[in-house]
Amino acid sequence: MSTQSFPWPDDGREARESVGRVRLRSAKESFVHVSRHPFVTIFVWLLMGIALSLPTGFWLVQHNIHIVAQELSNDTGLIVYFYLDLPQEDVYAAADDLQRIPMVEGVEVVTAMQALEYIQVSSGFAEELKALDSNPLQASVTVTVAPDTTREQVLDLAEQLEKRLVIESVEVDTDWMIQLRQIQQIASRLTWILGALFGVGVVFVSVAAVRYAMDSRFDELRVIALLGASNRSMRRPFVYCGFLYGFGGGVVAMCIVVLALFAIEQPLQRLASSYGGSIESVAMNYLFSGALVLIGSTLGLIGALHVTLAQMRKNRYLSSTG
Amino acid sequence: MSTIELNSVGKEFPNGFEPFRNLNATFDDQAINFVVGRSGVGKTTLLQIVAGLLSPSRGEVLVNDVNIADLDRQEMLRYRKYVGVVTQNSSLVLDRSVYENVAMPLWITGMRGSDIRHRVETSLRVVGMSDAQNHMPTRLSSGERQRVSIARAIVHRPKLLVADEPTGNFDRELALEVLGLFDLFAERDTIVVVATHDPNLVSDTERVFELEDGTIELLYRNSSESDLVS
Repeated sequence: MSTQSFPWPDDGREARESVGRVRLRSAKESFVHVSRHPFVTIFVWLLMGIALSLPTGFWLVQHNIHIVAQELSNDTGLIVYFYLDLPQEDVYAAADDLQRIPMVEGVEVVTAMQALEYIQVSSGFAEELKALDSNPLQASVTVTVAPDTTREQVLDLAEQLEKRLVIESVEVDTDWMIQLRQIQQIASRLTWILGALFGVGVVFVSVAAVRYAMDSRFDELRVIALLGASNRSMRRPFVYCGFLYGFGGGVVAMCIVVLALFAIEQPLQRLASSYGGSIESVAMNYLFSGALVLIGSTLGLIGALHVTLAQMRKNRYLSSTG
Repeated sequence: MSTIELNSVGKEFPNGFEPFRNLNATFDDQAINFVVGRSGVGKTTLLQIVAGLLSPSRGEVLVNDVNIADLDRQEMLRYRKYVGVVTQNSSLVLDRSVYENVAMPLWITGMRGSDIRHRVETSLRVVGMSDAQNHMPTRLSSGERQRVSIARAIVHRPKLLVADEPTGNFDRELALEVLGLFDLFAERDTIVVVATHDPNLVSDTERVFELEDGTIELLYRNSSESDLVS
């Protein structure tokens, strides 16, 4: 009975082998495959790029709505209306009191006279208003709250102010903000749904492309199996192919988003500035672009890992004919 | 001396096909070991079992007294790196050059590029195909393709060379020329097992095993003991 565990003594051949070189060879094979099939490669990249750019574009819109909403919410606050006959000194004293409240960032007093003058100028009824015996308008203070103030805190403040004797009413202007936040929530969920659907789509494209690559090299795989290659080393070039497809898809998606942003940037900036906000070109950000390419590569890799495993199970590359 | 010992080897496929159930034979490196038998009798299956490409359903295959069924996954992959395989239809990849086809077994091992070039050139020289390294297989005759296939089988210096119908439908002259190449390796302490359906190709100077009806029988020993055994 032999005590050796392997049929032949090591003749030094394994010292000349290198896993690193095998992987490098697989990577080279993948590059050769994608470059030898340019139409398929470009088609796959475009499909993946479009699929990735749609949810990305939607995310950008949603992200920018969020930025605009945040900027606009900085102006959120309330308008305090005083009783009609309150002396002007008391109005200024009340405004000073309001300024001392921690969450209040600024106050702007509009006296009864200033309000009347504004209406005279803006309404076009200056002569008619001059004919009035007394000023029918009340003094008010516009209160701007700190950016981190929540809607609930603003409502609490309004409730407290309404209890003060000199104040007739308080108007809180937050309805638009609520609506904007609701739109934002819908947009956010839609982004995730679209992202998931198109992400699955990218995986499917990778599956189809890698499967095509494996089918087109069936004979070669059969030979390589015959030569003693492990399943892993047979799969590896195709897994790298999936990565390359996903990587290219991510780059195409980035280009589409950049081009789309470039095309709509000016009109969007005008729209945003009319609301006092600004559009942030996130696609130009290196981190964002890198993340997009990374997501594409990962999805391509997932598809390739799945299909290569399935193909190795399905196809018996070593068949016996008896 | 290197040997492969088949002890009660049987194989049954999932579809119920059972080409053989109790093979007993010993292959050695003293001469070419021919396995003859009609088509479909299980020659390819036997060669694949010996090459470690298929597992036997029963019995044991002892290679230098080591049962290859006891090799773990990694060791089995390592075992296959010591085996060269030649098939009937040459199994060349048609969209790869002759050089690339021959280099394939070395790519799998991750050998250095300069070593690969040296080995491939040597192998092609041995089979007389040095001038064809940059040719595509489609430009070669069937005999030339089989030579390239043999060059690929020997490029990694196998300890075991299995050839399944390597002479295919060649005429006798070409077939003997190809078999002459195998003789070279049998003389270099390599176990050479050749399957063929044509018993006329083998002479009584070889070890000839006949595979029929699920059993294997030694017909001739090598020249020093050339008596008909059965």
